[in-house]
Amino acid sequence: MSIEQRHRINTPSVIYDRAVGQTVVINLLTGHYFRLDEASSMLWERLETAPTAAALMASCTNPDDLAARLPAILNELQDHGLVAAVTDGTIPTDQPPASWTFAGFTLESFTDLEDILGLDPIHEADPTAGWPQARAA
Amino acid sequence: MNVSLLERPTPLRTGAAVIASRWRPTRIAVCEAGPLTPDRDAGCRAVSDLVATLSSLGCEVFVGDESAGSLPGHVQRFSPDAVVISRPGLFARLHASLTDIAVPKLFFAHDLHHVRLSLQRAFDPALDPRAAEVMRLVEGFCFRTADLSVLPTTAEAAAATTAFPGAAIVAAPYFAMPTEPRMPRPPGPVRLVFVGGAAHAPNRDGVAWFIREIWPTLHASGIAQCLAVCGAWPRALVDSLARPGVEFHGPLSEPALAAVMRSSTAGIAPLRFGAGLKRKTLDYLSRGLPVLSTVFGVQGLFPCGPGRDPPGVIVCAGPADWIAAVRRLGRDATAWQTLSEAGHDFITTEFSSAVHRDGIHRILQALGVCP
Repeated sequence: MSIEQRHRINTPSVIYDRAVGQTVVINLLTGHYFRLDEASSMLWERLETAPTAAALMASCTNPDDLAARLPAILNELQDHGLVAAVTDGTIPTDQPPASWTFAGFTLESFTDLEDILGLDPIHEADPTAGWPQARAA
Repeated sequence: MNVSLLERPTPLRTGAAVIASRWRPTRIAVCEAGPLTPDRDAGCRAVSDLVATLSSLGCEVFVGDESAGSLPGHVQRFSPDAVVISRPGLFARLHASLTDIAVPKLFFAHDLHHVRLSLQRAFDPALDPRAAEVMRLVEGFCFRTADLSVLPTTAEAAAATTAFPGAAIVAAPYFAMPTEPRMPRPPGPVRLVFVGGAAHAPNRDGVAWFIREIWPTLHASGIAQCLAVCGAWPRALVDSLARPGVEFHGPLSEPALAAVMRSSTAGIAPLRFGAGLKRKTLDYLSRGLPVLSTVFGVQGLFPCGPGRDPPGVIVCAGPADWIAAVRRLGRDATAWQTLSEAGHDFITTEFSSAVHRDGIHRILQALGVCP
């Protein structure tokens, strides 16, 4: 991974909400749902400005700790479709990320709510022919 | 019906044709997650009514079905003036694929799903506790992203506006109720009817609760003779809810359903949680059938409370209320007649095709795409 590569949160197919002590993230295309704890949310928030890896590390008070983990973290987020490499030069802002301390990163992944997101909960699947008829796998 | 399932015709090239094309009908793409099954699902009925009313207003309507595949491409080729997307899951999935289509997107929300899931949790411990949280996030995205969102009740529109500041949310009629002749009170013992399938969690819970907690007393004491449950219910549930006097009819054709309604003394909506307008309640009332309901079965009809039941409805809380209300309808023909007439008049006035058409027309005006 080049340290000049920018990564952005993969909106609009990814939505997220910051709550007390956590961030909830949903990939609308897969129906998968994720939780980031307080520490992990720090990195996630900084991805809102689509920074380069170099800028992320420059803003971090313990860049060596981050550098050791950042490629794997970004790969994991990309694998889940939550972030994407910026390839067209479009970035939300050129502001550098706010100063922060890397205190670890854990992405909790849940696939068991797929039905709620994928189908319509007001009309759950009928066992015979009712609404909504889920697509055959 | 002016419903188009065709792709957009080849663009016209002559001068006269170009002028004609400026006068083409307003094109509305209506997107659903699956095939429309209005006889099985009130949400589909609402979408069907919307499509019919849009057509009656002179719009050209494309009905897209996500499960058939390639929905974004079909919508794009139709070249709509506005896109209506039904239900939150589909809106969330589809919106990202339609960002290139620079026309207003309307979120046809049906109800506040996250509220219903929160309420459901009290009666259904098996429901994932995160479901309401996740749905609230998804619905928040839909309401904030849509150019306009529509809910069927003013209470829910107000609640959603408060919950999701900045979103444009309005209430509009979801159902155009057919004008049914008011039925006379059937002779003989009290017969109750419930319309709705087990696939909808509030129906499943409400019917099970009614049959277990209320029906045995009603039947054993001779207050009511029969409860007809109309809709799709799986065999295992039917077996577990089998009681003397309870009949599961399965999904019925409209004539068969009308026959069951004609032989019934009252319609019931014993829902212990839920959200949105209940078409079953409107359906009972439209035929002149008095309704016995919890507050959830009459959401959106009126603000109700003690002494303020909606026309044609007796709102019941606990089992004693239900038993007293059924007994009253069985004994008091005048009360039955008064409720029957009030409910029938109410539906004719408030949920007619004309009212529905006015509501949809206002939505098109708000979107700036009036025919």
